Amino acid sequence: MVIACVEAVCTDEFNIHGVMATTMGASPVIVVNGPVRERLGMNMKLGALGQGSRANATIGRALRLAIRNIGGARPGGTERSTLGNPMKFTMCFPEWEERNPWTPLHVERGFAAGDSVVTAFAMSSGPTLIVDHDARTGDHLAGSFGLCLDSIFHPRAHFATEALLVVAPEHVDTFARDGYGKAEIRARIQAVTARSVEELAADEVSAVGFKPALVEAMDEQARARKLPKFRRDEDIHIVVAGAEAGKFSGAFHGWVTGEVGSMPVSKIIEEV
Amino acid sequence: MTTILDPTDERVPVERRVTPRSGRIAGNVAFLDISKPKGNVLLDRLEALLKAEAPGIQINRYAKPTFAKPAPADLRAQIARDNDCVVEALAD
Repeated sequence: MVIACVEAVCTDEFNIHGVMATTMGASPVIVVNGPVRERLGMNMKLGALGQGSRANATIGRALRLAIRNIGGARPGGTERSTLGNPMKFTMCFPEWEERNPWTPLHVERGFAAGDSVVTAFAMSSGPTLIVDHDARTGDHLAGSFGLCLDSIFHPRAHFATEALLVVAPEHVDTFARDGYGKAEIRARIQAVTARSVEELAADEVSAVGFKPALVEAMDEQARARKLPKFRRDEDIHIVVAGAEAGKFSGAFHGWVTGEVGSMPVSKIIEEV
Repeated sequence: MTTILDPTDERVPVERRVTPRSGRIAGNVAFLDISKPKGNVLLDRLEALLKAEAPGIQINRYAKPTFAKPAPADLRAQIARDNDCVVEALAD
């Protein structure tokens, strides 16, 4: 398991050097799929993203120590986060595939359902909570997801990163009752976060955003062009975990995404 | 006596030494833009100032493909081969 994690992060696509060296403070987040979850006694239910599970904690911790002691990512060396984040100690959890009415993560990424797979994501924050007790429809719930995700990095930072959503079972049920799948969740998030270039411009409230001079130089059509939060729908990754009770889903916020930064990488766990 | 090394201890940050300075600027100077926003603005200004201060130098401009990854080995080798010193500049 730990070897598969190391193999995943030590790829040019994942770019562990950049993930560790960035002042932004990113960290690998490992999601585990397949039969190995049960064999190792991993916790995918109550408190899956927190303390209390030796397997979850030690796999993530072993990866971190390999990165540090073998790879050299020591604070002040190639580990240069401004603030750091607690995920740098350990962040590993399994998906509750049996509670997922959709395709589990590893199958979505091309593996067989019976394969045991780790997927590494480079995330800069999280898990942040998405609190919605009121939604009774997929539109409303995915709309809330979008509103909460819009603050990643900065509400005016669009096309900048990706997200890993951990949908809790009660929220899963709301979606499932309404026939909402992953594609519908992604599309709704993109729709409710779409903002025009004009709306994403710097102003008296915040200097972040398109520079006013740049926007003024655009024609009306360019200024009105709407940009969703994420460059591509696929930049919204969706898994299921957590306790049966609680309308609280989680979101990890990404880092620099795509070929210029880090891309999620999956590795199959070889049987020994 | 047995020394036990704690593989988890990160209380003392690594300190990195600055490469020895020659005390003068001459010859070929590489300007490496790490491709962060406005890095070119910073390097343009530095280039103007440096040319005014040391008119004999040759400034060669380079850029990393992305700030998020180490400079490619070929680029590092080219910079080392063709230059006497490097200014590697970021921005944001």
